[in-house]
Amino acid sequence: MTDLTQFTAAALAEGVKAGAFTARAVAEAHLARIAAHDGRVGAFTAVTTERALAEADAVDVKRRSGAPLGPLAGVPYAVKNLFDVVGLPTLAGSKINRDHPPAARDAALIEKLAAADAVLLGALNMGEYAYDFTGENAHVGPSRNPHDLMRMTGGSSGGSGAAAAAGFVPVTLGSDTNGSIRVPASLCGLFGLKPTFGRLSRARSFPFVTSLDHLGPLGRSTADCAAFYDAMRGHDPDDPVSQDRPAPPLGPEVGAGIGGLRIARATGYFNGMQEAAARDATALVAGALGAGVVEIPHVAAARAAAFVLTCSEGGALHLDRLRTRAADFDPDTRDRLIAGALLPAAHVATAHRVRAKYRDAMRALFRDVDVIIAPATPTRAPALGQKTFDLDGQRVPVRANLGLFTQPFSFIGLPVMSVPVWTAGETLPIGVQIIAPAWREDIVVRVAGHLERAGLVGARIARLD
Amino acid sequence: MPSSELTAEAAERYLDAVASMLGLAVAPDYRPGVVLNLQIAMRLVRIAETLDLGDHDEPAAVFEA
Repeated sequence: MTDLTQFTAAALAEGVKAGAFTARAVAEAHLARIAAHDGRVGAFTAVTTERALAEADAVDVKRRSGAPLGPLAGVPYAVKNLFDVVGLPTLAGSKINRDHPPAARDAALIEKLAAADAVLLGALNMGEYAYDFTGENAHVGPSRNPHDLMRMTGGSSGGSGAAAAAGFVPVTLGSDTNGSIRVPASLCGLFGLKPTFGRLSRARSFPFVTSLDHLGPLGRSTADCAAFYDAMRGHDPDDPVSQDRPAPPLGPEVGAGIGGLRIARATGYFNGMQEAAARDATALVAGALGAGVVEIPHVAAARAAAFVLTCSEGGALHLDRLRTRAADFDPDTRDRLIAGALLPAAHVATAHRVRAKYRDAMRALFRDVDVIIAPATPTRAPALGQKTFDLDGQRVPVRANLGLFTQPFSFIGLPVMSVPVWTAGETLPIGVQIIAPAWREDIVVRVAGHLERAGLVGARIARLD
Repeated sequence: MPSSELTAEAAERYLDAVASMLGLAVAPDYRPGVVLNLQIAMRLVRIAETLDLGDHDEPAAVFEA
């Protein structure tokens, strides 16, 4: 019997449109897999069964009536629990937000996916208030890596990584302030697309660092990420950083190839502080692309400034909760947010100036290069509970350093996809970042699609039985 | 730019001085974590400050009226 949970989003939409199976059958298959296995994985914090079946039935009614179907007809997906979902409090990984009233309206991106006939299955676990790279959560327990349940998913979109890798849904939505889509994509073996800052609407999602917050998809293929991006793109005046500019579809670019692209592997900062797995995966991808090398200027200062902005702006956002409900935070989150709230304003202003200068330097660099290749994480998935790791002889904290290589690119809002590499004999994946100039998501998916067709990168659904 | 590490003692003094300005009562069992994170943050501040900024290097934050 066909197992619909093993299909890509593209194949599911095609099958529903062709009448090969119903949207209800697709939803029920995925809900059954969640019911059977999520107790061990910890991907979901809420499964919206009633809503999912109603949305699926509505798709089937449309098909039977001959009405046109949306591009994601019957495709199940789930969202990090910082997206507003009607009827649920928007937890953002916290205990405190359980006291919030249920959302009265869906997040903007969920409304767009509903218009494309996708089917929402629920809300996903995440690190508290998105200040996390591990996928651990002090309040509900960790999301576990489906490829090894004793290992981290990465975070903060940990449930988003777990759910797609576990075959619970083909695509999830996450958020990425410093790497929170790309880190779990790397550790869970997924394609994770962080579009350009200002590209996808953040309206009605819970913020972390509004200067740096992005939303985007994690999926098991380049085409699936592109299809979700295509359904979600478009200006939204409800998000103050949303840019009103052309956003051509990415679907046609997935198969466009890499002809004419000038590709370079980042050296210097990106050669250090990592295990052999990260170096080998990056070399594999760079070699296959015939990449040259490029040294990115000011990277260490940029990453440091991203850290400063994050803790300061995050601390300011949560200041009232830190005053009144400090005991209800995850201690790891709380102590960093308090320290951030205390930082002198002059240092924060400097960080904003570093951001602008670094962006200008990167714009100049992109006059000679179209694509940059860099590791996504310094290691494969660490063990759950692991606090430190050794990177090139230095023992450093896991929580702060899993995003060592992602922070410099989100800091200036560049479009990036993490693509999954499984080196020979390995049962755990690791990601490599494909980085393009601002607003050129088309270049990112051209490269990812090329690597996928060449068999160098790809996602796997974990066996959970 | 200060060249030395922020010591734990200096971070403690800073915490005592500034937390009250923010209306934050930092419980004794939170202090070690906050002090450690202040030290980490200041280490990164110093790395950020290695980039040479001129008077006309403006902040990235933009407000549109």
